[in-house]
Amino acid sequence: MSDAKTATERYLAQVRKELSSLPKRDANDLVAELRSHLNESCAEHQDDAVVAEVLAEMGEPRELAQRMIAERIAGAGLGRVPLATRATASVVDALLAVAPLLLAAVALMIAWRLGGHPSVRRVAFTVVVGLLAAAWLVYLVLYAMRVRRRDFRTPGRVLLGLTTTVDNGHRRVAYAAEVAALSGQAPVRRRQSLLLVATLAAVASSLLALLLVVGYAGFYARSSVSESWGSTGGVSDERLSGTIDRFYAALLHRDAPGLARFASGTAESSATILVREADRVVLSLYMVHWGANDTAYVWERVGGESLQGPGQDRWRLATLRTKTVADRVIVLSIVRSPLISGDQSGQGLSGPDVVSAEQNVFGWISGPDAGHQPVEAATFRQSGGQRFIDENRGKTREWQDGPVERVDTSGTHGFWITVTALDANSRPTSRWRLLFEDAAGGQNPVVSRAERLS
Amino acid sequence: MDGFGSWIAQMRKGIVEVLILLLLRDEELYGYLIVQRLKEAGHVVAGEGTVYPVLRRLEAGALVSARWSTTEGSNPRKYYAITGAGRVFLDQALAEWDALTRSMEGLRGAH
Repeated sequence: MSDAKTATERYLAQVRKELSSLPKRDANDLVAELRSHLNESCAEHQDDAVVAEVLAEMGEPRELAQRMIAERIAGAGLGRVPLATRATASVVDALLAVAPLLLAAVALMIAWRLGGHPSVRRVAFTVVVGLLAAAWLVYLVLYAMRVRRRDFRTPGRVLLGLTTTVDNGHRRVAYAAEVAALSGQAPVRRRQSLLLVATLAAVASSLLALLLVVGYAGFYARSSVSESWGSTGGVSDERLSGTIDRFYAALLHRDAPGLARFASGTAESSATILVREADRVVLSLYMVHWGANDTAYVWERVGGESLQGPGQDRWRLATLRTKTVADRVIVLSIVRSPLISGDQSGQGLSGPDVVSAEQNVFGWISGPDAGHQPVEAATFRQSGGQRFIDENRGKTREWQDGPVERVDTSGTHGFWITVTALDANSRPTSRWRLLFEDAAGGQNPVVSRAERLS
Repeated sequence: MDGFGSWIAQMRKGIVEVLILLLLRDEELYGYLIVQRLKEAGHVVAGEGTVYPVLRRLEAGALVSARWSTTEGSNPRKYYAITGAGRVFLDQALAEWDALTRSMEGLRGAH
């Protein structure tokens, strides 16, 4: 190797040594550019004198290296020129920055819409959290690429405070590292570790914050079905609410085994749940009725049986708005009436209180004494146990009642229903249109008129 | 370095980045050529030891972009090009320079 080449390599090695505190890629780039310059300068005259002159013009290796580091730090300041930031702002950057917030807003809406149904909520939350994680992952990868290019002009940080935390943290530590390198202290490795820890902490806290938002949405959705039941024999609202949720999930999904776990011995009832505390029944749900437009009605009863004695239990009507998607029934909302009083047989529940509380009126109806025989109005009394076809939905139901038509006669409330009477083998025998009225002052609705349709 | 020498060095150093942006306004150039053009400009004294650090500053500030050109058998060169932000910066710097010149001329004329 000639003396000129040796001198050049020695010079570049010294520069590289002074740049050792920088990332290897940056140091290589600087040295390569200096090498290129020296090659150009000495292309025509490779003698020692020319090389020495060129190297002298370059200056001392240490001084040159430190100046380059200093200028690069100053360059970061140039990059913060406002006009440069806004002029190059990218819509994609902004969208990436706010994407987690948009998704969180969607999560809130979904949780609110599907509140009260545990299985649906679980699925929705899984999807939402997955989307959030994916969006953040993409964003962070792109952001890391920017940081690698030392491009701190991230417009999105203005829109998202969490990103600003990461950004500023990185900028501060990076600046401190370069200043330290410039001054010869060079505790860069430690500072880079701090940078990594700070960045990871910021990212983790950002994700945690988003999960908290989603969690709050879940709490909010759950609170809509966790109303106070008042005195329930010591059973917590939370337990009651969870039991009700599981019951509705099994019921609406036609989950026979799931329903069986709630079965309480009422053979003819399709869905009855009794929540027991010791030997007392503190909560019962039953009498599912399907109305029009995928609306389900469920009586929820607090107390009863041995708890407080006849006339002391309380009831309320839960109206479930549902939607069937791919053979799955999901609950869109649950609206409950105020608690009202009634006795154990349920009489009196279709009185004015219920009528005024909910427009979804239905009564406590029983079937005829002999289902296969033509029936008369007078036979529609509370004797229990007969089945009809609910013409609203075209399916066989145990308790067939329904607000086919509502009338108001002589100051009392009543309603028409259309039913098909079944014989003992569940074969249809006749169709009837029945008028129920509570002529006795709203205490005991009975069939006051029956019109045979076929 | 005496007081005047220090002042003139600072002034020239401040001007170098504007001059480099002016050179890059219409074409891509590599470091060696930029140094040569500045030397040819005459009064501006900006050697290698000044130009390369300033190029580093401009690149870090995203006022210029850089790319390596490697052709087989020839010396690899790092080409610089002015960016949109660099053009805006240059326009502002030139406007400031004009205003400064006008002020100075006005003061000189008044005396």
